[in-house]
Amino acid sequence: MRIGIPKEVKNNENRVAITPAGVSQLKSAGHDVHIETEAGVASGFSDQEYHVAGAVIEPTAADVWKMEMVMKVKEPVASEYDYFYEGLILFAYLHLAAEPELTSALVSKKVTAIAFETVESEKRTLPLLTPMSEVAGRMASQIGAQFLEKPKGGKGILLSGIPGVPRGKVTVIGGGVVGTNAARSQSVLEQM
Amino acid sequence: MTILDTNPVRLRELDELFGNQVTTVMSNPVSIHENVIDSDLVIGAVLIPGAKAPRLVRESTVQLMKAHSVIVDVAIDQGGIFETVDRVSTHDDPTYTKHDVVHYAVGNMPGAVPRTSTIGLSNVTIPYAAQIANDLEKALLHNVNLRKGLNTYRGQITYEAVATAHGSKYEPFAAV
Repeated sequence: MRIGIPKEVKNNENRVAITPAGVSQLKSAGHDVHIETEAGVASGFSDQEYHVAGAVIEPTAADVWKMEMVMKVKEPVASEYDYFYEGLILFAYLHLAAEPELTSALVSKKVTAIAFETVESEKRTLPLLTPMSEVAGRMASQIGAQFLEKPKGGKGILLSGIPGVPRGKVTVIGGGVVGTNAARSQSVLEQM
Repeated sequence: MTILDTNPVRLRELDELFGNQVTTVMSNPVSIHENVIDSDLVIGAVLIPGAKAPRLVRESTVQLMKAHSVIVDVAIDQGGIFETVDRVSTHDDPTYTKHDVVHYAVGNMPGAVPRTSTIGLSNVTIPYAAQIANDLEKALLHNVNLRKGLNTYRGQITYEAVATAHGSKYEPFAAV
């Protein structure tokens, strides 16, 4: 199957739906990957790296939306609805409960839409949401430590303390994936 | 560091995982109030899939925190768990101050570390993408996990919560 990867269009969205390693995985499964030029640049992946991995670099978004399946990160915005056609497979974060217009566009154009965030494992975990919760949780501790610095508006304390000076008190509300990862990176910070 | 949760099984797991590095506390309005008011940093980490985040920390509690303490509300994409978090901030202007407490409530936090996030996401999505591309119908029939991901198919809404949200008809997936 031919799989298209557009460059993300939402403001400040610097992720991309595939890495060069992902391209070579799909190639070896017998599929062709067509990626919009510069789609990976903000994540540090050049067109050249995708080309070497076996992807075809396409000049415009319209070119990659013509493929049988499109993979992206964020839900399509209104200007992308025109690319929908009957039978297209779309695989991305969609959050359709909060997106009435997108939902009706997908239904009326008869798109097969598979949402990352509702893929669910037997243990009721959300495997395609988990890595982003892990990122947010680990970031939370490092962000919190940073904003406790005086120039950033904080109390002016070093969260880890030093010998002879107590460390800061941290409370994490919620012990799921986010909270556990916040705690994990917190304990790393405290050892620094 | 203190972690609060409502699930005793999870508290036990966290106790085993972190040992003496963390204190685990059963979460309730009293324990939340007591722990928040004397913390330097409070991280909001309650996320309920597909639902709005519960407002667990009252404004009156935040008022009692010491000046220049910090709140990081990771639940902001679902509305946030602090009553004092009333708007989503951005990576360009990430904090606002209320009751002398620094509030960080940036939407889409992983967007700040796109390289890590892109690799982490691609690691888990590509195996599913390969199954979809190999044979969509077969993948939906045989992979229950993936079938849960199907939201629209052949002009029907195949995910119940989405159909309910829009007052539309829910049609579970059936192979044609």
